[in-house]
Amino acid sequence: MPVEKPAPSPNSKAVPGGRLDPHAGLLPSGQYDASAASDDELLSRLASGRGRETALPELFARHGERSLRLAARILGDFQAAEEAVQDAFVRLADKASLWRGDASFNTFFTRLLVNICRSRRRRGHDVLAKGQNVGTPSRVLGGLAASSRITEVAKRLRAEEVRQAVHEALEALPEKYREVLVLRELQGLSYKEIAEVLEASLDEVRIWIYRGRERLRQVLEGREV
Amino acid sequence: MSEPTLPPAPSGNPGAPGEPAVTVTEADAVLLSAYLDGELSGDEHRAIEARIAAEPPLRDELEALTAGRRMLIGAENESTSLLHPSQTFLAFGKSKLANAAPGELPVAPALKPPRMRRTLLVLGAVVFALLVMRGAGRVLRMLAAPERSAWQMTAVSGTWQVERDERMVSFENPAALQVGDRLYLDHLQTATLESPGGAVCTLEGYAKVRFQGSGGLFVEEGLLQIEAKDERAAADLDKAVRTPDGAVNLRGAGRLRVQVTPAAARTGG
Repeated sequence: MPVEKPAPSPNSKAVPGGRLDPHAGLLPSGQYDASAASDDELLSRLASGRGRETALPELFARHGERSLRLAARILGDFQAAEEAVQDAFVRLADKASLWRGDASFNTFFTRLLVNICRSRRRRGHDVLAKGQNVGTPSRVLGGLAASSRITEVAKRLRAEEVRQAVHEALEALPEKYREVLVLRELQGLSYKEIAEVLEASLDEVRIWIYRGRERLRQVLEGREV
Repeated sequence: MSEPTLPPAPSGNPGAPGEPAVTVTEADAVLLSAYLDGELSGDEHRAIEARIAAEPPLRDELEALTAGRRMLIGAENESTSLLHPSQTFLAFGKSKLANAAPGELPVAPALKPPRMRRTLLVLGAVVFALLVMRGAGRVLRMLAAPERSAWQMTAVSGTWQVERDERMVSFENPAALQVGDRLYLDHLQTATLESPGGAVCTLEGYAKVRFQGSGGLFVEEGLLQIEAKDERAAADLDKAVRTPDGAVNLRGAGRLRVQVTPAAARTGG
C-alpha cells in the first residue's frame, strides 16, 4: 500500500471550484492511503499539487491496462500504445491542474490519452486508408438480410481470423469512427462521456457510432467478398 | 452493455418476394444504433420500439447492428487474453512514474556504448588532446617574440642563410640574428659580428655557427677571428664562444683565431 506523509494544509475543507477534497485518504495517523481514495479524489489530490508519488502509481495500477487496450486499438500498435499510456500518465501530473471537477477522472484521462494517441498517429504512422469513404446514406434492404450476411461472415472465418479481420477493419476506419467505436464498445463509455472525451455533441456521437458500425460491417463484408 | 430485447415481430411474411423494398434511412439507423446502446430518451425509446415491431427492415437492421457489435466485442475479448503488457510497462507504474519529473516523457534508459566503442572514444579523445596541445605549442611559439641574439651582424658579403625554426632563410644584408639560428657561410663569404661589449668576431670562408642564449656562440665549423679591444669586450667572450672541443677564454684585450673542422677542433692564437 503506497503511503506518503501528507503535506501540511491549514484548511483542508476549502476546495475551490467544487473539487473533491484532495485530502481524502488521509489516515488518522496522518499518513496518506492512496488505495482508499476514489479516482476522482486522487485526481483532485494531483490537481492540488500533491500526491504525485502515491496518486499516480495508484491510478496507473487501476487504469494502466485498460488504457493500454484503448491506446492499442486507436494506434494499432501495442508498443506505441505502451509509450502513449506512459506518456499520458506522466502528463497527467501536469494536466491535473487544469481539472475543474466538471468531469470524472475517466473522462479527463481518456481525453488526454486519446489526444496523445491522435498526435502520435498523425506524427508517426497514420495508416488510415483515405478514400475508403464508402458512404452511408439510405440503403435498400432486400433478399439476404444484413444480419445474416455479417453472421455468415463470422461463421466462415475461424475465431483467430475473425479477430484479425475485425482489427484490420477497425484499423481501416477513419479516425473519429474508430475512436467512438473503441470508446463505446471496448471501453464501455456512455455517449455523454464519449462526447466529453472527444469534445463533440451528443448528436455527433450518435451519428459517428452508427457510421462507424456501418463502415466496419461494410469493410468486413467486403473482405469476405 | 446489455442489448435491449427485441420487440416481437409482427405476423405475416414481410420481405417476401414480390413485396416492395422498404427504405431504412440513416436517421432510422442512427436511432437503432443508439437504441442498441440504451442511449435513447424515453420517448425515442418507445417510438423506435413501436416501429421495429411494425417495420421488418428496421428489425433486420437492428439484428445486423447487433451481430456486428457482437463480432467486435467478441474479437476484443479474444484479444484481451492475448495482450500482455511488457515488464517495462508494468514496472513503469511502480517506480518511474513516481519519480518522473513533471513534463518528462518516459524514455528508455540510455544504452551504454559497447566496450570497443568506449575504447575508441577514449583513444580519440587522447589523440585530439595531443593535437590540440601540439597545435597550441606551435601557436604559442609563433606568438612569442623571438629572442634576439646578443651578437649583431654588422657586415656580410653576398647572400647569407640561417637555419631558423627548421627552415632555411636567406638574407641579402645584415639582419638581426636570433637565438637558435644556425648561420651558414660559403667558402667565399665573410661576415662580421659584434657583441654588446664591443668584441668583434670575423668569419672567413665556409662556416657554420649556432647562436645560443646569453650571448653564446657555438662554432661548429669554420675559421673565426676574435678581437677584444678591452676587458669589457673580453668579458663578453669569456666562456661565450665554444667549439666542439670546449670554451674559448680570452682574458683581457687581445685577439684569438679559432679553426674548427667537423672532425676535430684546432685552436691557435
